[in-house]
Amino acid sequence: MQIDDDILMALADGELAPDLADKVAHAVAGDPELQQRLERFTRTRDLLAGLAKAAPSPGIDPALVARIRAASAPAESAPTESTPAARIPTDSTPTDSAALQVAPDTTVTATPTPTPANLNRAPLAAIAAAFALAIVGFGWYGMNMDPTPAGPGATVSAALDSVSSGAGAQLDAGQELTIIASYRNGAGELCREYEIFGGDLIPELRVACHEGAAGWNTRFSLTTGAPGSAYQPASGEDEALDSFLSRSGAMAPMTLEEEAAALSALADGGGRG
Amino acid sequence: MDPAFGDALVRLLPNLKRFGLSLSRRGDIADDLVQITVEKAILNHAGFDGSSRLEPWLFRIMRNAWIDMIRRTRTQGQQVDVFEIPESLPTDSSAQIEARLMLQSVQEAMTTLPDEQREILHLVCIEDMSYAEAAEILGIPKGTVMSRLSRARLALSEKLGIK
Repeated sequence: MQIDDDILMALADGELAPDLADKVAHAVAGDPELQQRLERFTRTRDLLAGLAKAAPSPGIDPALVARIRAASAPAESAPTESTPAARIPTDSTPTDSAALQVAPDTTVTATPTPTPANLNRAPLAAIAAAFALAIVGFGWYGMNMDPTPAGPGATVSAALDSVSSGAGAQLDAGQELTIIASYRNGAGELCREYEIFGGDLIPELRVACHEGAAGWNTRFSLTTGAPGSAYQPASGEDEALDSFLSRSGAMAPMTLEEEAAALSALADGGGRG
Repeated sequence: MDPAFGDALVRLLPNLKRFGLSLSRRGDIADDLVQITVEKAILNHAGFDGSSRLEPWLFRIMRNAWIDMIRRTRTQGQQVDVFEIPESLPTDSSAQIEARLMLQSVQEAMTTLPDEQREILHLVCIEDMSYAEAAEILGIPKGTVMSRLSRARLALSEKLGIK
């Protein structure tokens, strides 16, 4: 019987069907080499389990517990749309307030504890904005996924060629562009996710992929705000983007180093790497 | 929302925090991930299939939130340990001290593993997810879970000098 590492590990983890587990255990019992290999899997599991047991439970924000309790309380005692707006820190953007008021069920409800400090944190603002997108109803339109080439224009293309993720570029007529991330899709093409906004433009979240000699082609676009408004951070709440990324076989975002290498390969004339 | 769902969510907050720390290795980001996960869980609780365990559902939400976060921001800064191993006490026996040192080495070895390996070790060996649950959380086939996990276990045992 051929016993590989995966089978031994599954034995150590109790993941084998009982009859197979018996057979493997029997084989291991008579073979010191297998016992030694098995030991590496049982020991690593025990040690990691020990790590969790030895460490104190990580600190949990009491405001978060209160938030859950409020949301799961029986309906008659659940706080209705009451004070959340008043509790929002004064530096919140209108987007934040809109997001927090979307529905009684999702408000940051009045709790006896102080407003959580992390209401101000950027990622939270991002999800708040995402709720706003989903519910306040910035419409989406123009999900451009048909395969006919749609070049993003020369200035945008130049920015896509050179600007690194997290950085922005000024375009014509007060328009701006911010690169969010770069990745390769299932076809191995270099793709860049970016936001374009400013001027009289309707802010859009786009993905363009580089098609070698044909240059950049916009594969996805989604409006994220009203014309002329500032860019509204979208988020993974955008199921359209998520599903586009997964359908196109998008890999994990590149690191800045990987991205720099991929962009310099483009400049050298190769669209793929 | 069902109060039992709320109870389960509260009970799992430490697990979510640990997974958040394992993913991001930053306390502030782990807190944000927990908060985002809770908000999404509350918002989408109707989408949870009550016949399966809540943990994989929540871990998957958190992992997606994390991927979304790294897609947008390249957050790097002071990295923290996932587990704060208590300091040895003067009254500890040498066996206790040794055990603690071993835990510290495990902790350190974990931080040197690639993210992909650390993530799967955390889910299966620390959070006790089954292979099938880990496959569901990570969106990969069970066979991939097994090969990735066994590579991670061998890499960890190598680093710890387990022969």
